Amino acid sequence: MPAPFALCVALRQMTHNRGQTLLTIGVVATSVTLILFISSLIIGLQIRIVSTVTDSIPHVRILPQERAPEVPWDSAVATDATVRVGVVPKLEQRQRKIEGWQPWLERIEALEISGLNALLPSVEGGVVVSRESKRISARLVGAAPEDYNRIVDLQQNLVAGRFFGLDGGEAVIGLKLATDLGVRLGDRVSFLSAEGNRHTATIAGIFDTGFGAVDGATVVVPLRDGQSLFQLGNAITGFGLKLRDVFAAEQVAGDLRHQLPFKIESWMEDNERALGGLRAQSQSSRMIIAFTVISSGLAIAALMVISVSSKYRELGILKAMGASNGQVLSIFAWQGTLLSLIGALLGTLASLALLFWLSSLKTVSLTTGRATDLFPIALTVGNFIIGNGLAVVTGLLASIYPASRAAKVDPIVVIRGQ
Amino acid sequence: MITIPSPLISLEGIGKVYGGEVPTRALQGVSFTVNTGEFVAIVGSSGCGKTTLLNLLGLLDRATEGTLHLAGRNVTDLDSRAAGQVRRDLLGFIFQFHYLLPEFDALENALMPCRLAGGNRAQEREPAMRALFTRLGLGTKIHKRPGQLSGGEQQRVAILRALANDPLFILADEPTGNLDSHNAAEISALLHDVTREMHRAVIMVTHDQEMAMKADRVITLRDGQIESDRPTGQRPAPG
Repeated sequence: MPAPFALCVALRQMTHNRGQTLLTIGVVATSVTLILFISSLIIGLQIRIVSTVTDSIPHVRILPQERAPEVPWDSAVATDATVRVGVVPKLEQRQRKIEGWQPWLERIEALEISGLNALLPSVEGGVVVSRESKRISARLVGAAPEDYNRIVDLQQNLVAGRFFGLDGGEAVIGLKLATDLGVRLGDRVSFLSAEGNRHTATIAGIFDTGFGAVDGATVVVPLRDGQSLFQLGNAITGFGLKLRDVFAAEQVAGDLRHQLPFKIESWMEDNERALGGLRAQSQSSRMIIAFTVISSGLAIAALMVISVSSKYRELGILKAMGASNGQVLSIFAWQGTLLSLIGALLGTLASLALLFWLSSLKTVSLTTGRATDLFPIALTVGNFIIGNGLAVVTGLLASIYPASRAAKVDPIVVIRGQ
Repeated sequence: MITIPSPLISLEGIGKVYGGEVPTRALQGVSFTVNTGEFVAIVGSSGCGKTTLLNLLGLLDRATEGTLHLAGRNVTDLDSRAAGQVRRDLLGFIFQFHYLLPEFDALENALMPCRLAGGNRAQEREPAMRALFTRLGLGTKIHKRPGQLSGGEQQRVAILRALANDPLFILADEPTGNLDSHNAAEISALLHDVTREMHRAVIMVTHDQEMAMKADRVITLRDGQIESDRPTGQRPAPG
């Protein structure tokens, strides 16, 4: 079957006017490359930021309810203005803990939380880690190593020793903390809790996650040791949840607030400022893409207006011969779409080459020697579909104005040579 | 066999008034008929209404008065879509400025009305068009682009384009206006052949009296009205 009239004319005009065709394709290809580069870079950057924030913490925390401040005397009695003398326990010294947590663990598991990757009962608290004369503040986590590893992957990031199978009296610490303390595998360090309790442990493993906050100030000990240090008995200080989708944390936390009598926190409320930054970044990215699409569309439209103007007489003759407005309009709609499609495909190939090259560039940390990607590129199919879709739709839309001008050509004017 | 109605073209009291702040009357009470095989020249001084009449016959414009029948069909008030279809199916146009499409070769340009009609029309008509190219001495120029042809050759390709869809009649607007006398004579002879051998009607607008006298009949317009409608003696009167 022969090609439709409009498509046939559009293809001929494109191959005949090679300079203009190549120029238009070049504009579209450059725009698509820019769109894909910017969006891949911004998404990659956001993934890196989110990963930096969330990889080393639980996405949702289940904590004991904060108790209302207790007055040390009965308020009803206080109205008689009697002065009471005694020791007032400091609010911050009262421990917040979850007693009898095993049934709660079973209940939380029974909730079948969507996208739950790990559920960790743990104790956490601030300690001073000391070795001889050196003292450094750190966060001590008491948890089963295999369970904790599903929250923060320490096993994969061990630079010395072991993590799984950690025994009582043993601890793993971050590389930076170990360096700052001047300790090595097998050395003993002591931990002093805020309550004044002391615990001593042997360094069984040293990890390097690449997250400064984790490597420089985290100690992990078995759950029982942590409970002992913080004098919690059999209680824990909370549960940590790791989700497959980090951005589902707020939704999961909201649901749990209605189902559990505990304080529920999500990483998203704790990191509102970082999320605000990400949102601003996304907005900027969308604006750059929008301006790129608009400028690309205007360039296509301008080039096609020139094309229509140069074809004015031929179009008039075609109309005099019986070409319908739709046929004439379709010539330029086809041209806009085809030029955009070819430009988008070339732009995709160019951006793929550029992104693969950029993603191969590495930077090495001077302190840890760890090699990381210089550009955090995230190649997603969605990006490519959106980038190409935008280009083709823009090409089609940009061709509408010149195409409608072409369809309005008056054959009478053309015939008279005016 | 297709029955061609007679008369092929019929105008009854056709008038045209252009609107605007001061309405202008371009044609008034124009009535005549054209039969198959007739070569009619329309002449008159500049501004007499020749072009307006040709535009009405080509359904590029609409009459404000009267009725127009083409091939027995009343086409006075057709919308632009239906008018386009009639132009494609019944009419062939020859313009003073041929405006061939530079991206297509001579044969493709000539077959353009068939491409507009869609389907396999172009393929069906191609053998006949090749024969016509040869007959007009353009057999070796079939695949040349317009830019590679002389002015006379381009105008002959434009005439072949007008014949592509095997139309019932051809409207020619100053077809030799841009040509030298040699090429003009050739085009004139070709239009005669169209009427004599192919039995099609030709209506030609011209200001060239010599060219007009080569037609079978000359209609002279003056101030939008027919001043005279006379045979030239080029063709014996029927019967």
